[in-house]
Formats: sequence, C-alpha cells, structure tokens
Amino acid sequence: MSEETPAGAQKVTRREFLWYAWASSLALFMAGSGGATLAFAYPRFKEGEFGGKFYMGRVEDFEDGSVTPNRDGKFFLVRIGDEFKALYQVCTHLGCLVRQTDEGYACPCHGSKFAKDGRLVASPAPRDLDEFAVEIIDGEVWVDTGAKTKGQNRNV
Amino acid sequence: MAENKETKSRRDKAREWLNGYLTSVFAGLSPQDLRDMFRGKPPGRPNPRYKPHTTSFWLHMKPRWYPKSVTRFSYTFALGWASAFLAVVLGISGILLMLPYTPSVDKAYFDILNIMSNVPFGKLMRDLHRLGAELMVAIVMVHMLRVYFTGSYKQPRSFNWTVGVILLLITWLFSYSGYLLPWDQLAYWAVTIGTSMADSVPVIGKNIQLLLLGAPAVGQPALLRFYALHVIILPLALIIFFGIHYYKVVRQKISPPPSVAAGLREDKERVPFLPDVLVREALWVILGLLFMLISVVTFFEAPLEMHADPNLTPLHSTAPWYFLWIQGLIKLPDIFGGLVEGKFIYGVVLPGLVFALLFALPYIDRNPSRLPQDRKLAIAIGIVAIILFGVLTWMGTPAYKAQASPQEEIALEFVPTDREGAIHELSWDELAEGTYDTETFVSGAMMYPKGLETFMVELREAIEKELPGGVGTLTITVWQKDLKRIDLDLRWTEGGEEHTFQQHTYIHRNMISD
Amino acid sequence: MNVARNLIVTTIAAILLMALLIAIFLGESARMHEAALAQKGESIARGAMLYDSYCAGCHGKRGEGLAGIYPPLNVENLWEGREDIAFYGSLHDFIALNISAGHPNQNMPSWADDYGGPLRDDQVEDLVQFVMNWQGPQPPGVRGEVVATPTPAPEATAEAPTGPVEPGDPERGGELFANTCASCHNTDAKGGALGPSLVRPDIAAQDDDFFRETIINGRPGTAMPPWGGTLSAQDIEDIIAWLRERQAEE
Repeated sequence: MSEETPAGAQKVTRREFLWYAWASSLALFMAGSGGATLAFAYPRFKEGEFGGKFYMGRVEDFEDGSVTPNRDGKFFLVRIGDEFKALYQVCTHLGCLVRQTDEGYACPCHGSKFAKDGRLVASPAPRDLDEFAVEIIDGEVWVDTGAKTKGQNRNV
Repeated sequence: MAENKETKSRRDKAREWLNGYLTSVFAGLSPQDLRDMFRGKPPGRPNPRYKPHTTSFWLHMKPRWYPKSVTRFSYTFALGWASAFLAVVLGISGILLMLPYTPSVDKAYFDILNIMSNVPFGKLMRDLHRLGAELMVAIVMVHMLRVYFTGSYKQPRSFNWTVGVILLLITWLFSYSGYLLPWDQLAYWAVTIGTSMADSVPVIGKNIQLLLLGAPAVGQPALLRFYALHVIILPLALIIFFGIHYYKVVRQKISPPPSVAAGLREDKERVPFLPDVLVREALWVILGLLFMLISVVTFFEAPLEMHADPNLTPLHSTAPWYFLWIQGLIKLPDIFGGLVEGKFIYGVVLPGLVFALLFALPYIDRNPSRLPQDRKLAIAIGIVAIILFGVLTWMGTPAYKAQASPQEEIALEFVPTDREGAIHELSWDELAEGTYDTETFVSGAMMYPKGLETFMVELREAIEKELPGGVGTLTITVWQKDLKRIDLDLRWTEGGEEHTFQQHTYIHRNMISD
Repeated sequence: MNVARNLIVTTIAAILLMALLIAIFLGESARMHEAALAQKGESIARGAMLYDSYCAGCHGKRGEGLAGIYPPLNVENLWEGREDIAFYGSLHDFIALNISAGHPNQNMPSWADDYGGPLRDDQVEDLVQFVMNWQGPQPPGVRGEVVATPTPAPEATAEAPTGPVEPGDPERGGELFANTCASCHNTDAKGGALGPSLVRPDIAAQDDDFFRETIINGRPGTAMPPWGGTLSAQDIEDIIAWLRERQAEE
C-alpha cells in the first residue's frame, strides 16, 4: 500500500523522532564497537621489535661516514656529518634485501645500486632507498621502524 | 511548460527509485509503511509488517507474532533468548581473542599476559568472555529448569527437549575446553582431575583418556585438541543443534503457559514482532551488554593463576563450579569392594545416568498435563534435584574433606606463595619492616599501620581458632629495590611436643595498586 | 508492551554504553602500562622464591656469594670488569645463558630443562629478572653484611653453633639435608655434580667430629662452603644422624 506522498510532506511526530533517535543511538553504538574492535586488532610494537623503535646508542658512538647495520630492524644507520639516516634495507624495486658494498649498497636480485646515503645510482629500482625516522633524544639515537618515508623518485 | 514536466519527472523518478530501493532494503516495507509504523498507526490489511518475515532471511527465522501470554517476562524470564544472546557475545569476543593467542604450551600463558598488558581492550575482552561463559552455563541450566517446571518438554516438544539436553552438553564442553586454554595452574589441574575419570572406565578407559588428551597426561597434544574443540568442532556442533532447536521453537511456537494449554484461560491477543517485540529485544541486547560491561569494569575479573606446573598441585584445586557436584560425588567413600573404582561409579556412571535420565525425560514422564497440581511428583523431584545439586556442589569445595593441616590452611590464607591472600591487601607503606608477634602485638594503640593491625588481629583470631595456644610471627624485610620478603612462623604445642611451621613469600611494589 | 518507553530506555542505555566504551578507551594506555609493570614485579617476586630454592645454597641467601668460589650476585654492576668475555648480547642474555646452560668448568650447573635442568624457560626468565633487580642502587641493608633475618625456629640460631644438644634426630636431619645439602651431594647423599658421596667407605669411616668440623668450617679450596653461620649445633647433629643411617645402609 504505497501512497505517492512526497517524502517530508508529513511532519515528523515526537513518536517518530524517538525511532530515529533510537536507530541513531544503536548505529552509534555499533560504530563504537567497531572502533573498539579496530583498536583491539591493530598491532602494537614493542621497543626492539620490527615496527617499533630501536635504540642504537649515543651520538658519540657513531663516526662520521659510518654505516651500522641492524638486523632486526632491517636498516642501515648512516652518519653523514651531523646528520643521521636510517636506510630501509629493502630494495625499492621488488623487495629483496640490499647488501653493503664499498661504494654503498647493491641489490643481488636485479642489480640495482645505491650510494652510501641511499641515493639511487643504478636501475632497475625507481627511487632512492626508503628511510625510517631517526630521533635524537638527549644525545640518544632512536630509529622508529614504524615511521617510513619513501625515497625520492629518480631516473638513472 | 515542457521543461517543468521534465524536471518534475526527474525528481519524481529519483524519489521513485529511492522508495523502491529502500523498500527492498527493508524487505517489503516501503518508507511510508515504516513511517506509519513509527508514528504508531495501526497497520492496514493485509498487514505490511508481516512481509519482511516472508522475504528477508533474518526475519524469516522469527515469528510474525507472539500470543500475549508467552511474552510475559515472568513466564520464561527470556532465558532462551539470553542463551542465544550470550552465545553471540561469546562468539564475537572469542574470535577477537583468537587473534593474539597461540595454543602452544610455551606461548599460551604469555599470550594471555600480553593480552592483558599490551592489547587495547584486551583485558576487557577476556573478562567479557569469561563472564559470558560463566553466565552461559548458569543460564542454560536455569532455562532447563524453567522448561522442566512449566512442563514445556511434553509432546509435541519432546524432541526439542532432547536437542536442548544435547545443547547443554555442548555448553559444558565449550566451557571445559576453554578452561584449559590459559595454561595456568587452575586450568591444568582442573582438566587433569576431570580427565582422570576417563581412565577409570573398565577395559577401554586408558584408550578413552588417550583419545581425549592425545598423550598419557595433559600437555601440548591436549592443549591442541581442546583448542580445536573450542574454536571449530563445538561451534559447528552448536550451529547445527542450535539451528534445529530454534527452528522447532519457531515452528511449534513457544509453549503457552500451562493454564492456557489446559484451556483454563483464553489468550487471543497477539503481539507483533514488528515493531513491538523487535524494540523489546533491542532493549534487552543493550541492557544485557550494559550489565556485562559494568560488571567487568567493577567487580568481575577473569582469574589467572601461576603458570601451569605439572610437578606441583596447588592446595584447594577445584573443578569449575558447574562440575563441583561431580567433585563432591567422588569424595564419597568407595563402597564397591574393589570390583570397580569408586571414581568410575561416582565420576562416570552416575553423571552418565543423570545425563541419560535428562535426555529421556519426556519419554519417561507420560503425564500429559502441564498443570503443577497434576504434576506434584515431577515438581517434587525437580526441587529435590536442585537441593541435591546444591549439596553435592558444596561437597565439591575444599571445605568438605579437602582441608590441609590447620597450619597450612592458616599460611594459605594469610601468606600464600602462589595466590593472593590477606597480606596482599596491605598497601606498600603498610608493609612496614619489622617483626610482629601475635602474642605481644598491641592493637588499637595506633602504633602500627592500619592494614598491618587488621592483618595481625585476624591472624591472632585464626590461630586461636585452629591452633589454640599457638603463636604467629610475621617478619617483613626489605629484600631488594621495591621487593619485600614476608615470613610467617607458626609455633604451637601438640601432644606435649613443640611444632613449628614456616612459609614465606615476596611482594613487589608494582604488584600492589596503591 | 510499551514501545515508546522501550525506545527511550534503549536510546539512553546505548548512549551510556558508548560513553562507557569511550571512558575505558581513554584509560587503556595507562592501565596497560600499569599491568605491564605489575607483571614484571610478579616475575621478580617469583624469581626471588626460585632463588631461595635453587641458588641461595651457593650464591648466598642475600646474593653475597662465597669469596673465591661463588660470585656475588647482589653487586651494583654485574658487568664490571667483564670485558674479557667475548659476549655480544645484553646483560639479560648473559645472565639467562649462565642460568640455563651453566658453567660446567666452574661448578655452575645447568638449570634449564633444555639442558637437563629442572627449570622451565619462564622460570629462568623470572630468575633473570630477580638477579637484574639487584643492579643499581638498593635500599640500606640489602647488600649489608648484617641483615635482619626472619625470626628463626627455636632450634636454629644465627650465632656459632654451640650449646647443649640432644642426640641427632635422623628424620629431621633428612629434611635439613634435602633442603641444604642435596643440591650438591644429591638427595641420597651418594654425590652429585659438586659434592662427593658422603656414604662411601672412606668418608663413612670418619668420626662425628670430622663431619661437624667440615660442615661448620667448610673446605677452603673446594666447593664446600661453611655452614656454621646458618645451621645450629642441633641441626648438624640431626644431619649427621641421618647420614649415619645412610652410611649403615651401604
């Protein structure tokens, strides 16, 4: 029995409003439960776990030009002057791990080459090595493997 | 003029499309039908609010209307509904808890610790799951009692009663299999005790136990089997049998109250599912969740004892509360002259008999009347069964025949080594370093911290009761940074000889929430 | 059935439920942190109990060790002076390794069940947490020489074992032996990793004073520590009585 009354022609009664409030509150609750489920299921990373933060040492412990690999974190900590970089070891081509060479890093899978500071030197990789955020807190060097920035695209 | 007609028809077309789409979403109820329902308008004929029950999957499982007499809360107490509600809560919380849990004897316990300290809402989910499990067992048993006392199991619902008894068994198995998963002392020993009855079965007992545990004793194979039972085998069985059970309830309708069934009064009024019962069930869902959440936030906590230790049975080991009646039974004296083990009769035969009787009830009870006045024997037996259950349950607790020596009991209550006791109620500062003696301790003089005073007074009373003439000495020593050692020495005279007993434990500052 | 009333109550309850969820969420971070700290504290407390059973016999009740034989564990910095050992792990790993696998040449038995010992890995971890809790500054009396011992049972004293004694009670001696001596001499006194058999003929032939002297003063240069400060004269009589019974059985 469908009347052709255009929607909104009838004014919403108090009783009807109650229903809309009821439905909204239930929808809100479902959304809240969904949020709680998400918070439950989203992984947290402990310090020292890949995805979490790694303590590398004090600033003085690293020489200028040094490259310190970290196996669990899958990165190379490089000091250039006063700047620290944490280069993600995964090649930006298809995902193999790059190895250290005299000039920098090389990928054993398809021959991509990178300079010591992560810059792309030889393709087929399309961009520089990705980096993890490095924080210096009270002279301590921390690498956050949960915060990754992509390397710059390059044509070589 | 032609333009107006086109735009109008485009708007109309859009409205038409929206109405049609919403009608299909609401399974045959158009937006206007819905609004009429919301506004409290009585339905027209034919009643459009019956349409979803024939076109929608979910609603085809629910009755279109209920006789008013069965909707009275004090008739069924919504116990069947509550069982289904809890099953859903347990299913969802259970699936979530599967994400951070590994069924390995090396990992399980630590995954539980991780859930409680490193997973947001982890403790909440675990407490909800445990509360749901305890409530589920209680509610299905009370549901069974309700159905028994209203005689609803009689024809034509006898088959559904037997399906219900199978569901009861599935519920118990769910709870028991889940009990083992935290792999703590409580879990390990409750399951060891329970499954030890399996091998008392003559001839094939050993084989049954091996099948149950996958090994001669509870270990990794048992954990895997119980896990598989808990997360897939039993859920599948539940879906099958609950499906049958609920299908029969909808097809045969909820049994009318005995007086209506006997024709003593009439019930012609109908309560429609849409909107009345739907709104009421939504209310129950929210109130049920609110009750559970508040319980979990205030007083209810899922227990976790120490890591399972196959070499040390803790004092006062008990089965889960719904199996305490069996634990009580097996404490009865062995009167079978060595022909069969007592625990076979008490632990296997008798519970099996009880289960068989429950199963066959509708076929044993041939009385067609459901009125209490015509069923005096059945009602009496029901009441006696409840009392017996209560007595046997009490007998299953450590209070009956399972007390250790008085000195061990005192030490267990006041300075336990593997659980929380009276000493853990003191705050860190109240655990003042020093030696305190029940003989010389002065109470009421404000010399000592309040918690310590309460402890010593209670200790003195306990000693007077259990070890008359005895003396207790409490020594608190700062042992390491944030760690204190608590020593309890008990000295008493018995039969002219002096006896001593010592027990000590350690408390770390972070163990006490001050 | 009052539909309007049910609608209102449900709406209010659902909002309450949401508020409760949000309140819990806001407190979760702090609660989890507290729980993690509590779990670590419980680990240390369990470690202390395990230490009493398995380690105190050699490393001392308060971790003071025995000069020259068993290293002290209660020192402020266990790493001090250990650059000689080529070990790349953390202090935690070092302690865990020593407890689990032992030091076969240095009288430290292996304790982890992977290496034949009695402890599960989580129990080793509890012990590591307990030992590591000795690092750094401690409240007074923790590392001190004189320490308030718990009020002992009437028979045991903290002074040198003198005073009138009754004939030894072998049953009591057996208990004392199990708790004090068995870790080195084995529960049947037939000898273990560190201690020789006490029932073999040449030792059994010695007189009571030999045993008293050895137990009280130990044997410098060997793994046998002096027990005069821990066992009373009566304790020693009881142990000797039990040993004599075992020797008679041989």
